[in-house]
Amino acid sequence: MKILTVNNLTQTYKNKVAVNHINLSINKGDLVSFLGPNGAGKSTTMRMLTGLTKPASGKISLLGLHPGNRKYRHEIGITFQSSVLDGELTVKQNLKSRLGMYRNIDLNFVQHLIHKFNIKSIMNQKYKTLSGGQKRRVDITRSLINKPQVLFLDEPSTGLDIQTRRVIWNVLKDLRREYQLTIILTTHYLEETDHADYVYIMNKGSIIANDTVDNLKHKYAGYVLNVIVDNVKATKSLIGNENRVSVHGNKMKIVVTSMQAGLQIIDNIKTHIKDLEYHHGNMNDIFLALTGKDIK
Amino acid sequence: MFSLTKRNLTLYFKNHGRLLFSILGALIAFLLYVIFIKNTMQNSWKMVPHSTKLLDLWLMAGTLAITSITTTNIALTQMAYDRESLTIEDLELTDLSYLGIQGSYLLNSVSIGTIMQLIMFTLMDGYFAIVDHLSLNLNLLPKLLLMMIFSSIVWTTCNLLILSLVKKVESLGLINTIVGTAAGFFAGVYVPMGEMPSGAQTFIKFIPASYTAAIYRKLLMLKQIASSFHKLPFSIKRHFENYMAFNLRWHSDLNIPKMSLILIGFSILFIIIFIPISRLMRYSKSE
Repeated sequence: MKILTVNNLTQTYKNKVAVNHINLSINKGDLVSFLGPNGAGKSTTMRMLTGLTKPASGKISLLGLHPGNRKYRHEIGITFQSSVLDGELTVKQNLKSRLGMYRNIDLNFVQHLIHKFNIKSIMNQKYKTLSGGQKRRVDITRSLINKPQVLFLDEPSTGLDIQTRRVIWNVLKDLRREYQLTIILTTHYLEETDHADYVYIMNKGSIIANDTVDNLKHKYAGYVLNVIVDNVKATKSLIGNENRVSVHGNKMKIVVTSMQAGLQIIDNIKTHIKDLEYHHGNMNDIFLALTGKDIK
Repeated sequence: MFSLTKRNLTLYFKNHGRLLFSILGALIAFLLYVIFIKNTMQNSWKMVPHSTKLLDLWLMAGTLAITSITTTNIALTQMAYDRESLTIEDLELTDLSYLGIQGSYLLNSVSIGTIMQLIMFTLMDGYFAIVDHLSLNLNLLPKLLLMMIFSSIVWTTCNLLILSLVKKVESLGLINTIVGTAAGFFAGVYVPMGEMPSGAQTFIKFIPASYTAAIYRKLLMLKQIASSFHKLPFSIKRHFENYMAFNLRWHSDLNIPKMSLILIGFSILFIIIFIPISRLMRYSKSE
Protein backbone atom coordinates (compact mmCIF):
# COMPACT_ATOMS: atom_id res chain seq x y z
CA MET A 1 0.00 0.00 0.00
CA LYS A 2 1.34 3.42 -0.98
CA ILE A 3 1.54 5.87 1.93
CA LEU A 4 3.36 8.81 0.36
CA THR A 5 3.36 9.94 -3.24
CA VAL A 6 5.18 12.90 -4.66
CA ASN A 7 4.85 14.30 -8.16
CA ASN A 8 7.20 16.76 -9.85
CA LEU A 9 8.43 18.26 -6.62
CA THR A 10 10.63 21.26 -7.29
CA GLN A 11 12.35 23.85 -5.14
CA THR A 12 14.32 26.85 -6.30
CA TYR A 13 16.35 29.37 -4.34
CA LYS A 14 17.09 32.60 -6.15
CA ASN A 15 16.90 31.02 -9.60
CA LYS A 16 19.02 28.06 -8.48
CA VAL A 17 17.24 24.72 -8.67
CA ALA A 18 17.74 22.87 -5.37
CA VAL A 19 15.32 20.04 -6.10
CA ASN A 20 14.44 19.28 -9.66
CA HIS A 21 11.08 17.67 -10.53
CA ILE A 22 11.40 14.60 -8.36
CA ASN A 23 8.82 11.83 -8.12
CA LEU A 24 8.53 9.46 -5.18
CA SER A 25 6.30 6.56 -4.37
CA ILE A 26 6.75 5.15 -0.88
CA ASN A 27 5.13 2.01 0.52
CA LYS A 28 3.68 1.82 4.02
CA GLY A 29 6.11 0.21 6.45
CA ASP A 30 9.13 0.66 4.23
CA LEU A 31 12.46 2.08 5.24
CA VAL A 32 13.45 4.47 2.50
CA SER A 33 16.83 6.11 2.27
CA PHE A 34 17.88 9.27 0.47
CA LEU A 35 21.55 8.99 -0.29
CA GLY A 36 23.73 11.70 -1.71
CA PRO A 37 26.54 14.12 -0.97
CA ASN A 38 26.04 17.44 0.84
CA GLY A 39 24.07 19.83 -1.33
CA ALA A 40 22.39 17.03 -3.28
CA GLY A 41 18.94 18.26 -2.21
CA LYS A 42 18.16 15.57 0.38
CA SER A 43 17.42 17.90 3.27
CA THR A 44 15.46 20.32 1.07
CA THR A 45 13.34 17.38 -0.10
CA MET A 46 12.77 16.33 3.49
CA ARG A 47 11.82 19.86 4.51
CA MET A 48 9.21 19.94 1.75
CA LEU A 49 7.87 16.50 2.67
CA THR A 50 7.45 17.60 6.30
CA GLY A 51 5.76 20.84 5.29
CA LEU A 52 8.49 23.05 6.79
CA THR A 53 9.25 24.54 3.39
CA LYS A 54 6.72 25.23 0.69
CA PRO A 55 7.72 23.72 -2.65
CA ALA A 56 8.02 25.93 -5.73
CA SER A 57 5.85 23.38 -7.52
CA GLY A 58 4.72 19.80 -7.31
CA LYS A 59 2.32 17.69 -5.27
CA ILE A 60 2.80 15.78 -2.03
CA SER A 61 0.16 13.42 -0.72
CA LEU A 62 0.26 11.39 2.49
CA LEU A 63 -2.80 9.18 2.73
CA GLY A 64 -4.68 11.87 0.81
CA LEU A 65 -3.47 14.64 3.14
CA HIS A 66 -1.26 17.54 2.11
CA PRO A 67 1.51 19.42 3.97
CA GLY A 68 0.45 22.48 5.92
CA ASN A 69 -2.61 20.64 7.21
CA ARG A 70 -2.79 19.82 10.95
CA LYS A 71 -3.83 16.24 10.25
CA TYR A 72 -0.80 15.84 7.96
CA ARG A 73 1.51 17.11 10.71
CA HIS A 74 -0.06 14.70 13.16
CA GLU A 75 0.88 11.76 10.94
CA ILE A 76 4.57 12.65 10.73
CA GLY A 77 7.51 12.89 13.08
CA ILE A 78 10.95 14.29 12.38
CA THR A 79 14.31 13.92 14.05
CA PHE A 80 16.37 16.95 13.13
CA GLN A 81 20.10 16.86 12.48
CA SER A 82 20.77 19.10 15.47
CA SER A 83 19.11 19.13 18.89
CA VAL A 84 15.90 21.11 19.14
CA LEU A 85 14.99 20.23 22.72
CA ASP A 86 15.67 22.55 25.66
CA GLY A 87 18.99 22.00 27.40
CA GLU A 88 17.82 23.67 30.61
CA LEU A 89 14.82 21.36 30.97
CA THR A 90 14.87 17.73 32.05
CA VAL A 91 14.06 14.96 29.61
CA LYS A 92 10.69 14.56 31.33
CA GLN A 93 9.87 18.29 31.08
CA ASN A 94 10.88 18.32 27.42
CA LEU A 95 8.72 15.34 26.53
CA LYS A 96 5.81 16.55 28.66
CA SER A 97 5.82 19.98 27.03
CA ARG A 98 5.72 18.43 23.56
CA LEU A 99 3.01 15.94 24.59
CA GLY A 100 0.86 18.90 25.64
CA MET A 101 1.08 20.26 22.10
CA TYR A 102 -0.67 17.25 20.55
CA ARG A 103 -4.25 16.09 20.68
CA ASN A 104 -5.21 12.43 21.09
CA ILE A 105 -1.96 11.11 22.49
CA ASP A 106 -1.59 7.39 23.20
CA LEU A 107 0.17 7.51 26.59
CA ASN A 108 0.74 3.75 26.65
CA PHE A 109 2.67 4.11 23.42
CA VAL A 110 4.77 6.92 24.94
CA GLN A 111 5.61 4.65 27.89
CA HIS A 112 6.46 1.92 25.42
CA LEU A 113 8.88 4.27 23.64
CA ILE A 114 10.51 5.33 26.93
CA HIS A 115 11.02 1.68 27.75
CA LYS A 116 12.25 0.74 24.27
CA PHE A 117 14.77 3.58 24.01
CA ASN A 118 15.85 2.89 27.59
CA ILE A 119 15.54 6.49 28.77
CA LYS A 120 13.60 5.93 32.00
CA SER A 121 16.75 6.33 34.11
CA ILE A 122 17.59 9.72 32.57
CA MET A 123 14.10 11.21 32.68
CA ASN A 124 14.99 13.63 35.49
CA GLN A 125 18.32 14.67 34.03
CA LYS A 126 18.71 18.01 32.28
CA TYR A 127 18.84 17.46 28.53
CA LYS A 128 22.08 19.44 28.21
CA THR A 129 23.88 17.07 30.59
CA LEU A 130 23.18 13.98 28.44
CA SER A 131 25.75 12.27 26.24
CA GLY A 132 25.39 12.46 22.45
CA GLY A 133 23.88 8.98 22.30
CA GLN A 134 21.39 9.66 25.10
CA LYS A 135 20.34 12.91 23.45
CA ARG A 136 19.68 11.15 20.16
CA ARG A 137 17.56 8.49 21.86
CA VAL A 138 15.50 11.25 23.50
CA ASP A 139 15.28 13.16 20.18
CA ILE A 140 13.88 10.11 18.41
CA THR A 141 11.48 9.40 21.28
CA ARG A 142 10.20 12.98 20.98
CA SER A 143 9.67 12.61 17.24
CA LEU A 144 7.61 9.46 17.81
CA ILE A 145 5.40 10.57 20.75
CA ASN A 146 2.46 11.34 18.46
CA LYS A 147 2.72 7.80 17.01
CA PRO A 148 3.32 9.08 13.47
CA GLN A 149 2.74 7.01 10.35
CA VAL A 150 5.94 8.34 8.82
CA LEU A 151 9.14 9.12 10.66
CA PHE A 152 11.71 11.37 8.98
CA LEU A 153 15.29 11.04 10.15
CA ASP A 154 17.69 13.71 8.95
CA GLU A 155 21.22 12.33 9.17
CA PRO A 156 20.33 10.43 12.36
CA SER A 157 23.66 8.77 13.07
CA THR A 158 26.05 11.67 12.68
CA GLY A 159 28.57 11.55 15.51
CA LEU A 160 27.09 8.50 17.22
CA ASP A 161 28.95 5.44 18.50
CA ILE A 162 28.20 2.04 17.03
CA GLN A 163 26.40 0.83 20.14
CA THR A 164 23.89 3.69 20.13
CA ARG A 165 23.32 3.27 16.42
CA ARG A 166 22.57 -0.40 16.99
CA VAL A 167 20.09 0.35 19.81
CA ILE A 168 18.31 2.94 17.69
CA TRP A 169 18.07 0.73 14.63
CA ASN A 170 16.85 -2.24 16.67
CA VAL A 171 14.05 -0.18 18.22
CA LEU A 172 13.08 1.27 14.85
CA LYS A 173 13.04 -2.23 13.39
CA ASP A 174 10.69 -3.34 16.19
CA LEU A 175 8.39 -0.36 15.64
CA ARG A 176 8.20 -1.12 11.94
CA ARG A 177 7.20 -4.66 12.78
CA GLU A 178 4.76 -3.62 15.52
CA TYR A 179 2.77 -0.96 13.65
CA GLN A 180 4.19 -0.67 10.16
CA LEU A 181 5.99 2.59 10.80
CA THR A 182 7.36 4.06 7.57
CA ILE A 183 10.82 5.58 7.88
CA ILE A 184 12.41 8.04 5.49
CA LEU A 185 16.00 8.95 6.18
CA THR A 186 18.67 11.08 4.63
CA THR A 187 22.20 9.97 5.09
CA HIS A 188 25.64 9.91 3.70
CA TYR A 189 26.50 6.95 5.93
CA LEU A 190 26.65 4.18 3.42
CA GLU A 191 26.18 1.32 5.85
CA GLU A 192 22.94 2.93 7.09
CA THR A 193 21.50 2.62 3.61
CA ASP A 194 22.00 -1.14 3.81
CA HIS A 195 19.02 -1.29 6.24
CA ALA A 196 16.79 0.31 3.62
CA ASP A 197 14.11 -1.41 1.57
CA TYR A 198 14.40 1.20 -1.11
CA VAL A 199 17.01 3.82 -1.96
CA TYR A 200 16.79 7.11 -3.81
CA ILE A 201 20.20 8.35 -4.87
CA MET A 202 20.29 12.11 -5.28
CA ASN A 203 22.80 14.36 -6.93
CA LYS A 204 22.49 18.05 -7.77
CA GLY A 205 18.79 18.14 -6.92
CA SER A 206 17.77 15.17 -9.06
CA ILE A 207 17.17 11.52 -8.39
CA ILE A 208 19.81 9.75 -10.43
CA ALA A 209 18.83 6.20 -9.46
CA ASN A 210 16.20 4.51 -7.34
CA ASP A 211 15.73 0.87 -6.55
CA THR A 212 16.14 -1.72 -3.82
CA VAL A 213 19.61 -1.99 -2.31
CA ASP A 214 20.15 -5.41 -3.92
CA ASN A 215 19.08 -4.24 -7.36
CA LEU A 216 21.24 -1.13 -7.14
CA LYS A 217 24.20 -3.23 -6.12
CA HIS A 218 23.51 -5.66 -8.91
CA LYS A 219 23.14 -2.91 -11.50
CA TYR A 220 25.84 -0.47 -10.52
CA ALA A 221 28.13 -1.64 -7.72
CA GLY A 222 29.94 -4.48 -9.48
CA TYR A 223 32.73 -6.19 -7.57
CA VAL A 224 35.76 -4.71 -5.91
CA LEU A 225 39.12 -6.40 -5.90
CA ASN A 226 41.66 -4.97 -3.47
CA VAL A 227 45.17 -6.33 -3.93
CA ILE A 228 48.61 -5.65 -2.52
CA VAL A 229 51.19 -6.38 -5.21
CA ASP A 230 54.96 -6.52 -5.52
CA ASN A 231 55.07 -4.60 -8.81
CA VAL A 232 52.33 -2.11 -9.63
CA LYS A 233 53.47 -1.37 -13.19
CA ALA A 234 53.71 -5.02 -14.17
CA THR A 235 50.34 -5.78 -12.54
CA LYS A 236 48.68 -2.87 -14.29
CA SER A 237 49.80 -4.16 -17.68
CA LEU A 238 48.03 -7.44 -16.97
CA ILE A 239 44.68 -5.78 -16.19
CA GLY A 240 42.40 -4.82 -19.07
CA ASN A 241 41.81 -1.10 -19.76
CA GLU A 242 38.04 -1.48 -19.42
CA ASN A 243 38.32 -1.85 -15.63
CA ARG A 244 38.48 1.07 -13.16
CA VAL A 245 41.79 0.96 -11.30
CA SER A 246 43.06 3.19 -8.51
CA VAL A 247 46.52 2.90 -6.97
CA HIS A 248 47.83 3.92 -3.53
CA GLY A 249 51.46 2.82 -3.06
CA ASN A 250 51.49 -0.90 -3.71
CA LYS A 251 47.76 -1.20 -3.01
CA MET A 252 45.42 -1.42 -5.98
CA LYS A 253 41.64 -1.21 -6.10
CA ILE A 254 40.10 -2.75 -9.21
CA VAL A 255 36.38 -2.42 -9.90
CA VAL A 256 34.92 -5.01 -12.27
CA THR A 257 31.40 -5.50 -13.57
CA SER A 258 31.06 -9.26 -13.02
CA MET A 259 32.37 -11.86 -10.63
CA GLN A 260 33.92 -13.85 -13.47
CA ALA A 261 35.87 -10.83 -14.71
CA GLY A 262 37.39 -10.39 -11.24
CA LEU A 263 38.34 -14.04 -11.00
CA GLN A 264 39.98 -13.81 -14.42
CA ILE A 265 42.05 -10.80 -13.25
CA ILE A 266 43.10 -12.66 -10.09
CA ASP A 267 44.27 -15.51 -12.29
CA ASN A 268 46.20 -13.13 -14.58
CA ILE A 269 48.02 -11.26 -11.79
CA LYS A 270 48.38 -14.06 -9.24
CA THR A 271 52.20 -14.10 -9.44
CA HIS A 272 52.31 -10.44 -8.24
CA ILE A 273 49.66 -10.71 -5.50
CA LYS A 274 50.87 -10.56 -1.90
CA ASP A 275 47.41 -10.20 -0.38
CA LEU A 276 43.84 -9.81 -1.70
CA GLU A 277 40.23 -9.07 -0.78
CA TYR A 278 37.31 -9.57 -3.17
CA HIS A 279 33.77 -8.37 -2.41
CA HIS A 280 30.56 -6.72 -3.71
CA GLY A 281 30.76 -2.99 -4.29
CA ASN A 282 28.99 -0.81 -1.68
CA MET A 283 26.85 2.31 -1.99
CA ASN A 284 29.90 4.47 -2.53
CA ASP A 285 30.87 2.33 -5.51
CA ILE A 286 27.33 2.71 -6.81
CA PHE A 287 27.57 6.47 -6.45
CA LEU A 288 30.97 6.46 -8.08
CA ALA A 289 29.63 4.41 -10.99
CA LEU A 290 26.69 6.82 -11.41
CA THR A 291 28.46 10.16 -11.07
CA GLY A 292 32.17 9.46 -11.42
CA LYS A 293 32.66 11.09 -8.00
CA ASP A 294 33.08 9.94 -4.41
CA ILE A 295 30.01 10.45 -2.23
CA LYS A 296 31.76 12.38 0.54
CA MET B 1 -0.87 26.69 23.76
CA PHE B 2 -0.88 26.36 27.54
CA SER B 3 1.86 23.74 27.34
CA LEU B 4 4.11 25.98 25.24
CA THR B 5 3.50 28.97 27.52
CA LYS B 6 4.36 26.81 30.53
CA ARG B 7 7.55 25.70 28.81
CA ASN B 8 8.52 29.30 28.00
CA LEU B 9 7.83 30.41 31.56
CA THR B 10 9.88 27.53 32.97
CA LEU B 11 12.79 28.43 30.69
CA TYR B 12 12.65 32.07 31.80
CA PHE B 13 12.64 31.32 35.52
CA LYS B 14 15.27 28.56 35.21
CA ASN B 15 17.76 30.82 33.49
CA HIS B 16 18.80 32.90 36.50
CA GLY B 17 21.26 34.99 34.50
CA ARG B 18 18.61 36.07 32.04
CA LEU B 19 16.09 36.62 34.82
CA LEU B 20 18.44 38.92 36.72
CA PHE B 21 19.41 40.73 33.55
CA SER B 22 15.74 41.35 32.77
CA ILE B 23 15.24 43.35 36.00
CA LEU B 24 18.71 44.88 36.02
CA GLY B 25 17.43 48.21 34.69
CA ALA B 26 14.81 48.30 37.45
CA LEU B 27 17.27 47.25 40.14
CA ILE B 28 19.74 49.92 39.03
CA ALA B 29 17.02 52.57 39.25
CA PHE B 30 16.08 51.38 42.72
CA LEU B 31 19.66 51.18 44.04
CA LEU B 32 20.64 54.45 42.40
CA TYR B 33 17.78 56.11 44.23
CA VAL B 34 18.39 54.46 47.58
CA ILE B 35 22.16 54.98 47.59
CA PHE B 36 22.71 58.26 45.74
CA ILE B 37 19.68 60.31 44.77
CA LYS B 38 17.28 59.95 47.66
CA ASN B 39 19.02 62.41 50.01
CA THR B 40 19.53 65.06 47.36
CA MET B 41 15.91 64.83 46.29
CA GLN B 42 14.68 64.92 49.86
CA ASN B 43 16.66 68.11 50.43
CA SER B 44 15.08 69.69 47.35
CA TRP B 45 11.56 68.94 48.66
CA LYS B 46 12.14 69.27 52.39
CA MET B 47 9.44 71.92 52.65
CA VAL B 48 6.90 69.25 51.70
CA PRO B 49 5.65 67.15 54.64
CA HIS B 50 6.35 63.39 54.30
CA SER B 51 8.45 64.07 51.23
CA THR B 52 10.34 60.81 51.79
CA LYS B 53 7.20 58.74 51.40
CA LEU B 54 6.17 60.80 48.42
CA LEU B 55 9.50 60.24 46.71
CA ASP B 56 9.53 56.54 47.58
CA LEU B 57 6.20 56.16 45.83
CA TRP B 58 7.49 58.19 42.87
CA LEU B 59 10.45 55.86 42.58
CA MET B 60 8.27 52.75 42.86
CA ALA B 61 6.04 54.00 40.03
CA GLY B 62 8.97 54.61 37.68
CA THR B 63 10.65 51.35 38.57
CA LEU B 64 7.49 49.39 37.85
CA ALA B 65 7.34 51.04 34.42
CA ILE B 66 10.98 50.07 33.74
CA THR B 67 10.27 46.50 34.91
CA SER B 68 7.39 46.10 32.49
CA ILE B 69 9.58 47.33 29.63
CA THR B 70 12.70 45.26 30.28
CA THR B 71 11.10 41.99 31.39
CA THR B 72 8.77 41.76 28.41
CA ASN B 73 11.74 42.56 26.18
CA ILE B 74 13.79 39.67 27.58
CA ALA B 75 10.77 37.33 27.69
CA LEU B 76 10.19 37.83 23.97
CA THR B 77 13.80 36.96 23.11
CA GLN B 78 12.83 33.32 23.67
CA MET B 79 11.09 33.51 20.30
CA ALA B 80 14.34 34.60 18.63
CA TYR B 81 16.34 31.87 20.37
CA ASP B 82 13.79 29.26 19.27
CA ARG B 83 14.02 30.51 15.70
CA GLU B 84 17.81 30.36 15.77
CA SER B 85 17.96 26.81 17.20
CA LEU B 86 15.20 25.62 14.82
CA THR B 87 13.13 24.63 17.87
CA ILE B 88 10.37 26.69 16.31
CA GLU B 89 10.23 24.17 13.44
CA ASP B 90 9.79 21.34 15.92
CA LEU B 91 6.93 23.30 17.50
CA GLU B 92 5.38 23.98 14.09
CA LEU B 93 5.22 20.22 13.50
CA THR B 94 2.94 19.70 16.50
CA ASP B 95 -0.83 20.15 16.48
CA LEU B 96 -0.40 23.81 17.48
CA SER B 97 -1.31 26.36 14.84
CA TYR B 98 1.07 29.13 13.78
CA LEU B 99 -1.15 31.64 15.58
CA GLY B 100 -1.23 29.43 18.66
CA ILE B 101 2.57 29.37 18.78
CA GLN B 102 2.88 33.13 18.32
CA GLY B 103 0.09 33.69 20.83
CA SER B 104 1.83 31.65 23.49
CA TYR B 105 5.01 33.74 23.15
CA LEU B 106 2.91 36.85 23.70
CA LEU B 107 1.05 35.28 26.62
CA ASN B 108 4.41 34.28 28.07
CA SER B 109 5.71 37.83 27.77
CA VAL B 110 2.61 39.37 29.37
CA SER B 111 2.73 36.80 32.20
CA ILE B 112 6.42 37.42 32.86
CA GLY B 113 5.95 41.20 32.74
CA THR B 114 3.14 40.96 35.29
CA ILE B 115 4.86 38.47 37.60
CA MET B 116 8.14 40.40 37.62
CA GLN B 117 6.35 43.68 38.33
CA LEU B 118 4.58 41.99 41.24
CA ILE B 119 7.94 40.76 42.53
CA MET B 120 9.60 44.17 42.16
CA PHE B 121 6.62 45.84 43.77
CA THR B 122 6.73 43.48 46.76
CA LEU B 123 10.49 44.00 47.15
CA MET B 124 10.28 47.78 47.01
CA ASP B 125 7.17 48.01 49.15
CA GLY B 126 8.76 45.72 51.73
CA TYR B 127 11.97 47.75 51.76
CA PHE B 128 10.27 51.15 52.08
CA ALA B 129 7.85 49.79 54.70
CA ILE B 130 10.82 48.83 56.87
CA VAL B 131 13.07 51.83 56.17
CA ASP B 132 10.59 54.68 55.73
CA HIS B 133 7.45 53.19 57.34
CA LEU B 134 5.62 53.49 54.07
CA SER B 135 2.21 51.85 54.27
CA LEU B 136 0.29 51.27 51.12
CA ASN B 137 -3.46 51.42 50.74
CA LEU B 138 -4.50 47.81 50.12
CA ASN B 139 -7.52 48.97 48.12
CA LEU B 140 -5.05 50.02 45.43
CA LEU B 141 -3.86 46.48 44.78
CA PRO B 142 -6.54 45.38 42.26
CA LYS B 143 -6.00 48.56 40.23
CA LEU B 144 -2.23 48.10 40.40
CA LEU B 145 -2.53 44.51 39.26
CA LEU B 146 -4.69 45.59 36.32
CA MET B 147 -2.11 48.23 35.42
CA MET B 148 0.68 45.64 35.62
CA ILE B 149 -1.17 43.44 33.13
CA PHE B 150 -2.03 46.42 30.93
CA SER B 151 1.53 47.78 30.82
CA SER B 152 2.85 44.27 30.12
CA ILE B 153 0.52 44.04 27.12
CA VAL B 154 1.54 47.48 25.83
CA TRP B 155 5.26 46.74 26.18
CA THR B 156 4.89 43.27 24.71
CA THR B 157 3.58 44.88 21.51
CA CYS B 158 6.35 47.49 21.53
CA ASN B 159 9.11 44.92 22.14
CA LEU B 160 7.60 42.63 19.51
CA LEU B 161 8.19 45.40 17.01
CA ILE B 162 11.71 46.17 18.29
CA LEU B 163 12.74 42.48 18.21
CA SER B 164 11.20 41.89 14.79
CA LEU B 165 13.87 44.23 13.45
CA VAL B 166 16.67 42.11 14.93
CA LYS B 167 18.01 39.55 12.52
CA LYS B 168 20.83 38.03 14.54
CA VAL B 169 20.56 36.41 17.95
CA GLU B 170 23.98 37.86 18.82
CA SER B 171 22.46 41.35 18.63
CA LEU B 172 19.81 40.56 21.25
CA GLY B 173 22.11 41.29 24.22
CA LEU B 174 22.87 44.72 22.81
CA ILE B 175 19.18 45.43 22.21
CA ASN B 176 18.31 44.35 25.77
CA THR B 177 20.98 46.70 27.14
CA ILE B 178 19.82 49.63 25.03
CA VAL B 179 16.17 49.06 25.97
CA GLY B 180 17.07 48.65 29.66
CA THR B 181 19.06 51.88 29.77
CA ALA B 182 16.66 53.90 27.65
CA ALA B 183 13.72 52.74 29.79
CA GLY B 184 15.16 54.45 32.86
CA PHE B 185 15.43 57.77 31.06
CA PHE B 186 12.16 57.61 29.17
CA ALA B 187 10.25 56.68 32.33
CA GLY B 188 11.81 59.75 33.91
CA VAL B 189 13.41 57.81 36.74
CA TYR B 190 17.15 58.38 36.31
CA VAL B 191 16.51 62.08 35.75
CA PRO B 192 13.20 63.70 36.78
CA MET B 193 11.35 65.19 33.85
CA GLY B 194 11.65 68.72 35.23
CA GLU B 195 15.44 68.50 34.98
CA MET B 196 15.29 67.79 31.25
CA PRO B 197 15.50 70.51 28.58
CA SER B 198 12.12 71.38 27.10
CA GLY B 199 12.95 69.61 23.79
CA ALA B 200 13.62 66.36 25.65
CA GLN B 201 10.43 66.81 27.64
CA THR B 202 8.42 67.02 24.43
CA PHE B 203 10.31 64.11 22.85
CA ILE B 204 9.62 61.87 25.84
CA LYS B 205 5.89 62.34 25.32
CA PHE B 206 6.25 60.42 22.06
CA ILE B 207 7.56 57.42 23.97
CA PRO B 208 4.97 55.27 25.77
CA ALA B 209 7.31 54.78 28.77
CA SER B 210 6.44 58.23 30.08
CA TYR B 211 2.71 57.42 30.08
CA THR B 212 3.25 54.04 31.74
CA ALA B 213 5.24 55.69 34.54
CA ALA B 214 2.74 58.56 34.84
CA ILE B 215 -0.24 56.21 35.24
CA TYR B 216 1.63 54.35 37.98
CA ARG B 217 2.43 57.70 39.64
CA LYS B 218 -1.22 58.71 39.53
CA LEU B 219 -2.25 55.38 41.07
CA LEU B 220 0.40 55.28 43.79
CA MET B 221 0.95 58.92 44.70
CA LEU B 222 -2.48 60.54 44.47
CA LYS B 223 -3.38 60.14 48.14
CA GLN B 224 0.06 61.05 49.43
CA ILE B 225 0.17 64.17 47.25
CA ALA B 226 -3.20 65.26 48.60
CA SER B 227 -2.06 64.87 52.17
CA SER B 228 1.48 66.21 51.72
CA PHE B 229 0.43 69.35 49.87
CA HIS B 230 -2.68 69.90 51.93
CA LYS B 231 -1.29 72.95 53.69
CA LEU B 232 1.03 74.19 50.96
CA PRO B 233 0.28 76.72 48.22
CA PHE B 234 -1.26 75.27 45.08
CA SER B 235 1.64 76.55 42.95
CA ILE B 236 4.14 74.35 44.82
CA LYS B 237 1.90 71.32 44.32
CA ARG B 238 1.61 72.12 40.59
CA HIS B 239 5.35 72.57 40.30
CA PHE B 240 5.98 69.21 42.00
CA GLU B 241 3.43 67.41 39.82
CA ASN B 242 4.90 68.76 36.59
CA TYR B 243 8.53 68.49 37.66
CA MET B 244 8.18 64.85 38.72
CA ALA B 245 6.05 63.91 35.67
CA PHE B 246 3.05 63.09 37.85
CA ASN B 247 1.20 65.25 35.40
CA LEU B 248 1.74 64.89 31.69
CA ARG B 249 0.20 67.57 29.54
CA TRP B 250 -0.98 67.78 25.95
CA HIS B 251 -2.73 71.18 26.04
CA SER B 252 -4.45 70.06 29.25
CA ASP B 253 -3.55 67.60 32.02
CA LEU B 254 -3.89 63.94 31.04
CA ASN B 255 -5.84 61.71 33.42
CA ILE B 256 -5.51 57.92 33.69
CA PRO B 257 -8.22 57.07 31.08
CA LYS B 258 -6.69 59.47 28.56
CA MET B 259 -3.18 58.12 29.10
CA SER B 260 -4.50 54.55 28.85
CA LEU B 261 -6.08 55.43 25.52
CA ILE B 262 -2.78 56.87 24.32
CA LEU B 263 -1.03 53.62 25.31
CA ILE B 264 -3.68 51.57 23.50
CA GLY B 265 -3.08 53.80 20.46
CA PHE B 266 0.64 53.16 20.66
CA SER B 267 0.01 49.39 20.89
CA ILE B 268 -2.23 49.41 17.83
CA LEU B 269 0.38 51.42 15.94
CA PHE B 270 3.14 48.95 16.92
CA ILE B 271 1.05 46.01 15.71
CA ILE B 272 0.19 47.77 12.45
CA ILE B 273 3.90 48.32 11.77
CA PHE B 274 4.86 44.87 13.06
CA ILE B 275 2.60 42.83 10.77
CA PRO B 276 4.20 43.74 7.40
CA ILE B 277 7.71 43.56 8.90
CA SER B 278 7.11 40.08 10.32
CA ARG B 279 5.72 38.91 6.94
CA LEU B 280 8.80 40.28 5.23
CA MET B 281 11.10 38.55 7.73
CA ARG B 282 9.23 35.25 7.37
CA TYR B 283 9.50 35.53 3.61
CA SER B 284 13.25 36.25 3.67
CA LYS B 285 13.72 33.42 6.18
CA SER B 286 11.98 30.86 3.98
CA GLU B 287 14.20 31.71 1.05
